Amino acid sequence: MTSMAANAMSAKAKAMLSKKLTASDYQILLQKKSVSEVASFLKNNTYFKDVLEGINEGSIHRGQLETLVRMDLYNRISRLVRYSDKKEEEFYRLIVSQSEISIIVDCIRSFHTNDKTIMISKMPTYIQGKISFNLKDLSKADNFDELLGVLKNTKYYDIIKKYRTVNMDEFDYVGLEHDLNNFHFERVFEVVNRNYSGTARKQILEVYLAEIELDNIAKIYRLKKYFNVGPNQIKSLIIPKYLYFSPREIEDIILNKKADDIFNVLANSPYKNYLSNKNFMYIEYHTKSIFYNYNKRNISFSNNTDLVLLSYVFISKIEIQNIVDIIEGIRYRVAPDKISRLLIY
Amino acid sequence: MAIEKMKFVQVSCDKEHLNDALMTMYNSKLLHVEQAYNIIDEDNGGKLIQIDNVYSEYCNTFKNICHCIGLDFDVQTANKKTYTNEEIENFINELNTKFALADSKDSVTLNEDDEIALEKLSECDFVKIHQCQYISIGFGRIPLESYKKIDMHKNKFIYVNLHNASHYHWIAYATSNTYVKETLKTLESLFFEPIDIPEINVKKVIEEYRQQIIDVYAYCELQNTICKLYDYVAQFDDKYVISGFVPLSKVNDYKNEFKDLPVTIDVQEAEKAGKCSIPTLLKNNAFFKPFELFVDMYSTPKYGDIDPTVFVAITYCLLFGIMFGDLGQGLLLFLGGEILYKKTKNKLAGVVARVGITSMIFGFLFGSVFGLEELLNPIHQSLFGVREKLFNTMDGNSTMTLLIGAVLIGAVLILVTMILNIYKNIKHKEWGEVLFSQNGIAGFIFYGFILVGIGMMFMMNTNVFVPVTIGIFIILPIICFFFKEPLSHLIEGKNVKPESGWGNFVLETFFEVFEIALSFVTNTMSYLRVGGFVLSHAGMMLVVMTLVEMTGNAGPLVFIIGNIFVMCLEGLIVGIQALRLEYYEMFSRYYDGNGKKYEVLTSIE
Repeated sequence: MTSMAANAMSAKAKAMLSKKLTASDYQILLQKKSVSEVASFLKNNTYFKDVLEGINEGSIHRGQLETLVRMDLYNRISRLVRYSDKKEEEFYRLIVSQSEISIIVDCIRSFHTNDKTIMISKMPTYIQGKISFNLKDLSKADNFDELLGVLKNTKYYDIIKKYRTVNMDEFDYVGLEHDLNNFHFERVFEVVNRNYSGTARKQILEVYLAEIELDNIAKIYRLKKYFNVGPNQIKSLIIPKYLYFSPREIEDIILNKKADDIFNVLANSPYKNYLSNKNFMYIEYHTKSIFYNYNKRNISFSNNTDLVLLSYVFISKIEIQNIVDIIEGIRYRVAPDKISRLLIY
Repeated sequence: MAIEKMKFVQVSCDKEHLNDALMTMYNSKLLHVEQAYNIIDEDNGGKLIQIDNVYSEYCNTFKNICHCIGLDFDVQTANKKTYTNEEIENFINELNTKFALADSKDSVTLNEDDEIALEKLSECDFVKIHQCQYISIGFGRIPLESYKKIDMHKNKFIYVNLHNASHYHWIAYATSNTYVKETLKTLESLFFEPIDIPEINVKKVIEEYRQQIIDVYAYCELQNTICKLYDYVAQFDDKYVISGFVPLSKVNDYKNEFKDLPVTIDVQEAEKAGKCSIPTLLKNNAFFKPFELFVDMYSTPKYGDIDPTVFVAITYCLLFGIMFGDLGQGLLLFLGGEILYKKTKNKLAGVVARVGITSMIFGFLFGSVFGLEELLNPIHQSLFGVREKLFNTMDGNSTMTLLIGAVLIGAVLILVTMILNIYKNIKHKEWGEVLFSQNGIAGFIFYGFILVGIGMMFMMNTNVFVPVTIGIFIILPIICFFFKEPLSHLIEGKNVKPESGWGNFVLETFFEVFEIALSFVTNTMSYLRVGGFVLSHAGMMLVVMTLVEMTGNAGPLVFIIGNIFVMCLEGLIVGIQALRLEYYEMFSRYYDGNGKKYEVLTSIE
């Protein structure tokens, strides 16, 4: 990428981030009583106005609103990727690869329930051009053989093949998701190592390592606290990648720490600089807000264009999740202060 | 320079003919009507009319109904009928029931795209759709993303795309009654937003009701207008009076409007209108009329004052013409302005056309045509017998002549505005202002003497600034400026002592007089811009012509674009600067405005 294009992308990403929803926007959204009101506010007062222009906010379906808000992120990424060279484009495609995994898992779930409506409604058809299989063909797959037929020429084929079964009642979803995620991150590291060198490579890898490590910690907490899972099984379900914790420290957590001690471990680790000052609510809130603050710092202080874009994507995803949480909260009539505790900003 | 003479006209009638009299007044478009509260007072025993205007509400209701059912109509096509309030209310209820508008709170408002799709669906006949016994038909909008997914499902329904816009497709689907639930579940998962199919063909019913709606609405609108016009009616026992001002030349026309009505028309001098202030209608010939825009923009003159339009027109044209002197560009301004003025009656276009004429005259005198400075040389040589051209603006020797000329024009204009001010104040018998003000006789002597003195010093080498003349023509006027307030009071027979005491008075007046002296200098210098813009215009055209020479074959294009650019930029700047001179340097010396514009009622809000 030419330095001018890189700077343009970096500046554009920073400019886009400056338009993100503010604390007062969230406060207003929390006071809304219906999806229509949320849609109307987003359409008239935020940067989502472009993607929401033309919607009928009076009767919009919440699913449609969520789809449009998610679609907007892909539009924004596409606008930024236009400035990039081809090798970066390969890297950015990895950003959508997590969506590929979700689609495949949803498809397998539909074999179990024999109902495709949820899978099809969640399917992000707007990224068809960026993913490695055909969504329409996938929607027609009723069993593993048909699914494998659709995924034949993709890198997912071998993983899915291992899980091929006719008895869906005892299907190992956890194992499948773990393998797919593992594969996703291996691919990420391979692409980053191939395309970047020096500080750029180190910084980008650190973002992914932070994501994996924080996810591992949340996973360990959950498995210990709610499922009472043994250390060996926990070890098999985490992705063995490390940033601020060493493998031995993680093993110590798995073997010797109680679930409730994990928050203190986090508070005494290098992640403490990114901790939110809200009281302990639930582990995912903290791991996600740490990751949010970590990425925010990258955008503020980094000159590495690709790192800025990557952090922008992660922050935007959290913002979208906030909006989805508000919509869901309104739908189930959850009190605004309870929804507020879920929001990370 | 004239203000139309006004008459105060009062039309009296009985209650029975009041509505007709009001509508006659309204339709005549001749009366500058006065609010009734300006006419009545405790002495004359007049009253305001208090009525409950239900027709305004009726009109709004009809407008809402028409908006909801999508009915557009022209009220001119209405038949003249009368209705009782009960009949109107029954009709409104009937419409609400027929078009199911009464319980419309929960219904979804259809947008333009919904209407288009529904219109297409109406080809199937809504009544027949609702009559289907074994097939269920539905209609609604589905997001663009979801539309692509419909065929991903194993559908138990068929659908047709009726319309699409940026975010939605509008579809109608049909399925057997057996699969209705399944179909709705599939569509719901695709965020389908159902829209009810109307049970009647609204368009057909609208046509049935169209004329009646128009007739009733027209009646309500007429009654609403009349009710609003009651604000202008003063009641004196059983007489109802509509009062206002009519230009003298139109009084007979106005009287003729009422010839078929049993009314009494009383025409009086405008000055006898009591507490009503008399409106001003400017009266100027076709050439000067557009310049009324500038006068009104500043402030309409008071009735009985002087109308500065002609003076504004002459000076504005003169100043603009000098600053924008170019025969070709002036011609274009004239033609463009005149065509636009004829078509739109826009006064600014009229001004542009007129300044185009003076621009052409000065362009001819400067020998400039679209920046071609030598094109008119032969004509100048034969007409004026000069060696090159009459006046070469780009010649270094002409610069001082140009700037001195500009200051001279300014000085003359300042003196003329002083004369106008003296005339105005004589008319109002403001003798203090006439004699002692800086814009009165004292100011005229002071400024005039200095100008004449400087002129004689440079042109005839004669110094008139000797102690005697300085004493009479400079010191004495300054004393007049200084003691203007007490001297004015003396003439008017008021207390000579200033309200704030002598100490304060001397201190304040000292600075005021200093400012007056300074303002004479700055106002005169302000006219230097006239010369400056002559040079600037010539300079800009020189740049254009240099670019034309440099660009070779593209020269003609550069010539055209350059001329357009200079015309737009320079034209705008010169227009604004000339207006600035009018408002700040001239109006501030002789014109107050503060009048009320003559306006007839054209719409009732």
